[in-house]
Amino acid sequence: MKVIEAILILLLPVIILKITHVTSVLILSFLAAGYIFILYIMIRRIAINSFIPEISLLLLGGLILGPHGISLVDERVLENMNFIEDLALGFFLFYASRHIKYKRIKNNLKEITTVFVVQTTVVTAVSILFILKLFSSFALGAVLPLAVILSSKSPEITLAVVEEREKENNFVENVLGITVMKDLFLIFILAIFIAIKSGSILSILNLLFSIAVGIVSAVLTMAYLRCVEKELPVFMTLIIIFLVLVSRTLGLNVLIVTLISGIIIENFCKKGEKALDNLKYSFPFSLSLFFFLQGASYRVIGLKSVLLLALLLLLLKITFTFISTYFTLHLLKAPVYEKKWLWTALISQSGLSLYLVNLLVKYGIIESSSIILTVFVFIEISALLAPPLFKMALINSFKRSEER
Amino acid sequence: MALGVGLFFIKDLNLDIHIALLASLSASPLLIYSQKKLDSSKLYALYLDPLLAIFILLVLTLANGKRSILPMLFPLYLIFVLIIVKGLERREQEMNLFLFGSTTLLAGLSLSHKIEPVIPPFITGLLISNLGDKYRRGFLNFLQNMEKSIYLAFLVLIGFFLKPVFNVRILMGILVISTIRGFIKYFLFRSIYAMIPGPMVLAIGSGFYILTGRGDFLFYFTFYYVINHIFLLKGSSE
Repeated sequence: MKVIEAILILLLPVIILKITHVTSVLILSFLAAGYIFILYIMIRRIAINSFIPEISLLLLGGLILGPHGISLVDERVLENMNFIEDLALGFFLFYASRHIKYKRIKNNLKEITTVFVVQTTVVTAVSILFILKLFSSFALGAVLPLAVILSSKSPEITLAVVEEREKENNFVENVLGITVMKDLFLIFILAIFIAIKSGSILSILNLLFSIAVGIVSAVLTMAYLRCVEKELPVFMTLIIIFLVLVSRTLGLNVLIVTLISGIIIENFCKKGEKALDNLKYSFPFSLSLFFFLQGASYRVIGLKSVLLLALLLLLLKITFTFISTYFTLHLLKAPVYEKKWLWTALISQSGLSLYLVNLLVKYGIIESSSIILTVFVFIEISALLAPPLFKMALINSFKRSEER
Repeated sequence: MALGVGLFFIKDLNLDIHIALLASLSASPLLIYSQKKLDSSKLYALYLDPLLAIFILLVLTLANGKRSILPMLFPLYLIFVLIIVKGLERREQEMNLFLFGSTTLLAGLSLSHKIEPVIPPFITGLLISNLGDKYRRGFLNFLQNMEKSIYLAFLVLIGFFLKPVFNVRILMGILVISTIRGFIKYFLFRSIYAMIPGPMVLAIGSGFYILTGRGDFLFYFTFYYVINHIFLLKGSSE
């Protein structure tokens, strides 16, 4: 890419913005959205020939241009774009969920289940020991859910990196299988734990209702596909807008609702793939908006005080994820490549982990602000650092598949 | 129907200018889409209406007292468009991103400076449409896929802002103008489809509404648009 192009893409809107002194939040939101889309063109060009994935650059871009950077997108704009962010997540996950195919995953079900159980147990146990050692005053009741969160992973990051390569092989199928299984299991465990701890079943109801809304919307979509099957782009757009509106109104989790709905449509409807394919034109917009705004909302204040601890946690997670995955796959006699690299897909954390931490804070299970900040910083660092490792593993796995 | 939904069902929503901005933005890709036939010299005449309207709006914008902004904004933007469009690699997706990105950016900039928001995307449309097939094909696919969703949202939003003004004299005037325009176009092109005013008319109406706050103008523009579509339905049934 020519240097002049990069400079123009990056600087011209900023210069125009600074010259014009816009103060209206709404207009600033429009300008920010326009800027994100144009920035994403450049990010795609950088990412296509490197091991750095688009999402890492988007998150980094959000961090630099966000309220904690040069404030091109300030706090007011972020608040104003909250709905747009949820909508973008809805569109993105709906489209990306077409990669999760049960028929393919069930071929490797034994391997996926074993890796998931061993890896989750090991990382959770090590995290409990580490937190108890480090914060001796911390009650076990708060340590357990926190450890569960530390062993969780990010479905949206995994799907975004897989989507970027636009290819699938055995390695990708295993990764996606573990992702779905692990995320759903951890969400359930945490909801049950919160219900016991807080003496209220609201958290479980919220989760069950999120799943129910996802299933209902999937059934509606399937009925439409079976009976009508016209104007699919309009219908799919309306379904997603409706889902996000319902989720926000009822306080449900947009991620769970859209992911469940997308997975059901993909796996239980003959025309599901065709329906989801209609969202391909909106995909670059939703992906860039969601991850950029996520990056912009990352916390930087107080980062220094907990950075070392967060990095230590990440190192711990990487080490034990690698050890547990490697030995499990070794016992299962999996290919050498999977043994060496599967762990890279299991360390990224993002929106889902943040949602789980927020649940713990909401129900008063974690109160210590330093712990909350540490966990947030840990999640943010892993969101930035883990995707390049996973992309590198993916690129190599495709090279190996092609060589065979 | 979409106009009706906006008019009767979402009246209580307090979305105000946010939606108005979205309306102008939604219209923008449609404007560019409307330029796809510019290759045919005969069809140039079809675009006389919007070009005339754009000219009037440009004069109105200049008269609005923001003359210094225009010379600064458009040359910069045109350079920007030319350089980036020439360098697009993965054309289809990058073109879409560029199209939406620049439209959004310009809609925001235009509105912050009280410049008619339809003008910049219109210029973009003219530019990209005339850059050649390789650039145009990508976003035509995109617009064909997204067109109806955008159009639907746009019509609902316009409906939401409609405040019916029953000034019989003006409405009759619009009816007469529409009839004369329809007849002229029909005799010139011998096609009933030549009578349809595109979404451009509504986009200009919404842009005018955003600039001046004149709800009655939006209603008249919409009336003109609907009347012409009724003529079309009548014509095609015969």
